[in-house]
Amino acid sequence: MSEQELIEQLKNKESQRAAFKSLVALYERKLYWHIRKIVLNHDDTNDILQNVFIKVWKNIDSFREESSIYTWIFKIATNESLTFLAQQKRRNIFSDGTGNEYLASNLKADEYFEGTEIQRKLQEAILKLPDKQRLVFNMKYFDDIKYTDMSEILGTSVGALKASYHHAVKKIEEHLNGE
Amino acid sequence: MEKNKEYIKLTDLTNEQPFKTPEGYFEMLEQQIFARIDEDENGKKAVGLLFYLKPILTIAACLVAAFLLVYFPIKISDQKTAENTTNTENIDILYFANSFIHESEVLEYLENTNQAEPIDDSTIESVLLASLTDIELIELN
Repeated sequence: MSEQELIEQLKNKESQRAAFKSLVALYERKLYWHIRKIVLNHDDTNDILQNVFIKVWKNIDSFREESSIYTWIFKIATNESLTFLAQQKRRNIFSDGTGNEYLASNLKADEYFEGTEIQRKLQEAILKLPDKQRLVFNMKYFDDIKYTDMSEILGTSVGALKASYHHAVKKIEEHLNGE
Repeated sequence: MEKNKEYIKLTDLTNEQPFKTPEGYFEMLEQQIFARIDEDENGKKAVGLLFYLKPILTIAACLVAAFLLVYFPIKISDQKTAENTTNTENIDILYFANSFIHESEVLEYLENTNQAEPIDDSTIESVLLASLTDIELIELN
């Protein structure tokens, strides 16, 4: 099924439910890992992911097709995740500059983390980055999302994204090497 | 500065996800999403029905309130009237209808006598006759 056909079926009340099931199956894993890399915790990720799909269901009729449905859904997921993080930071009294103590403690306590020690160190280094830069880094390093797609999702120019990624890599390597 | 071999570069690391999901998570996800959608839509239907029932329920509530506000005061008033007429139940109402004396004169007479005893007709006649003037008595005869 092409994206255009999927959109048509999503907007048709009779085929909407079946089309939505296809949409969920198509994007659930990509969206899950995108959100998970932002908020780290599985339970938080699950809540946000379900909220994203509910939002998509409620607003499918107003989807203007100015971007691809993939970009549209990822935008929603990114905004929901960043909003969630902002709420967590407002609840945090102490800050290490990034306000990511909540995430750092999530990482330490996460029963669903099965990486090596160096992978844990990498995650700790990533957490030191500002949220948007962390987002850029994750989308490029782990998901290999094209800069043009990233630009649409994040609303930032390709040039700025490339610069941001380059600086993120430098900071992370310094952290990994104890600098 | 020359970087030694121990210097870790990002490209040296795997970009695999170090996280995992609970067993069967994605298999359950679709069900959970649709359960929330259905719950939300059922909630909307209930609200929709309430929208039409609300004016009817409001009117019904007002009518009940109005009924109660009118009914109970009347009921209480009737009870009080019934209590007030208890002491005069031995007196034939017809005597009042046709009597030449005021009701209050009869009540005064009753207060001065033993009200526990039933009042017979001759007693009532005595009361009524006692209140008439000489001229009225002559006219009666």
